[in-house]
Amino acid sequence: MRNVARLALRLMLFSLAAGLLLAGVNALTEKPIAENLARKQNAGRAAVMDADHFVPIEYDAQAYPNITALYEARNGEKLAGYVYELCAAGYAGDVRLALGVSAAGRITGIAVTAHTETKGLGSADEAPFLQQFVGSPAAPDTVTQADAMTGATVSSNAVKTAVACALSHCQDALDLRAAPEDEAGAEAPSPLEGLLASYGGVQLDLFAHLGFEDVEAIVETEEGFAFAMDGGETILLARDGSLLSGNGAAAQRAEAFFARYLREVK
Amino acid sequence: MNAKKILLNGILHENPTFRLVLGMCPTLAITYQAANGVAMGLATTFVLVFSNLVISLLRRWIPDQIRIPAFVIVIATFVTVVEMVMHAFLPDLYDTLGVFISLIVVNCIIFARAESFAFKNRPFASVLDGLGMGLGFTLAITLLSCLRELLGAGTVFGAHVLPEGFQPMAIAVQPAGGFILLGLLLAAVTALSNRSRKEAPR
Repeated sequence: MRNVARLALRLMLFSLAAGLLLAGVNALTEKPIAENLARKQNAGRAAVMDADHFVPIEYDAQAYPNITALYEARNGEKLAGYVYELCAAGYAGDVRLALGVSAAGRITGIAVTAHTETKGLGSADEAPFLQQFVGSPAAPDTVTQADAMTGATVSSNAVKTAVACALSHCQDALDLRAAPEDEAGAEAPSPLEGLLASYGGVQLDLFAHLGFEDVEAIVETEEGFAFAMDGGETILLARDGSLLSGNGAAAQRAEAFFARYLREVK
Repeated sequence: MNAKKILLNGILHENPTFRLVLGMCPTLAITYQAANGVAMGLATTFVLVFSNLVISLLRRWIPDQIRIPAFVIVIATFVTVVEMVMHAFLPDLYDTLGVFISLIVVNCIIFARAESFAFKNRPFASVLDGLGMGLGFTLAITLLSCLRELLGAGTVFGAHVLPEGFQPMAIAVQPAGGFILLGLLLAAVTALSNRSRKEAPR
């Protein structure tokens, strides 16, 4: 019995010494750790919305289970918009996102802040997938119309679920609606919207994968294809690739795309 | 006590990864990037050196019946120190290695050296042994990480080395591929060491 007491005492002494050492190191590292955490969280918020500072606000956690935090983004006193920190169940754990919505009711940015999915969120298409949300109005349609990533259905659905929850909060709790003629003239219709308005037809987004960055949008119409180039030109090609309208370098790029498109797709 | 012999023992003759086959858990889990290999190896070396030192210094005051809990206290303390320091001053590396920093506690290498060397030898020799084993481990997992990163992503330490046309083998950065590559490396090391033993009969 005395031997057990002696051993126990010895162990207690070791633990005490260890505890003291750890307390000392903790005191030294506590502040840097807290600073790093705050910096990471701020960086996550700043990545989705350009604002001076973020003020946390209340929300109904019961009704909106995917929201983990909600902030007002302010430039000085002016309200720039809102930043949501979201969490949804993915394929192999939680996927955490940050979503920024402007005061005018459009999505300003979206970023994945943490996940344990297969590397690269299951596929190489993470960037284009997330990009399709940016600039869209804060309405449920934005989510239902979004394309998922090939081969990463569960991960895509996690993102979509989280975004849908945030957007429904936008509409119901914050009453943010994007007016159709949004920000009166401050934002011109997107090239795609311009093409669709002028020519009708169906959007083609294969081009994103074919390395033609100066092509803003392509629409497949009854006559052929309409291209909106990044210099503001609009080029029209017939179904056989012949030039209907437009000229110069922009027309050559459009024709080059068409030749590539035939090779890749048809 | 031959300092050089003790150091080289851990790096070559009794390399923890390739000869003793210890510490397999972090080896397979984090070696998908060369930078991870170096970071984990150095963290483990730090813990090895200091836990060997402390255990060797206290070897007359640790009763034999409670030596295992005592080792665990010492090792866990130093691992926690490493974790806190990394979290504070190397946050990116801390995020990448994640839970595996804490798992250094149960890395068999550290416990094995505490039990079989530090508990029975003098402090300076124990430090050298810890250093040798740590360096051997670091070199081994860095080699494995470089191979896995090269095959799985075409880069080494983030720098593109292989030509653009190279199609990376995704499995190389998954645990299954790590297992296979580790096995191949083990086979190569064993073959080399058998050949050197045959050529120089002792």
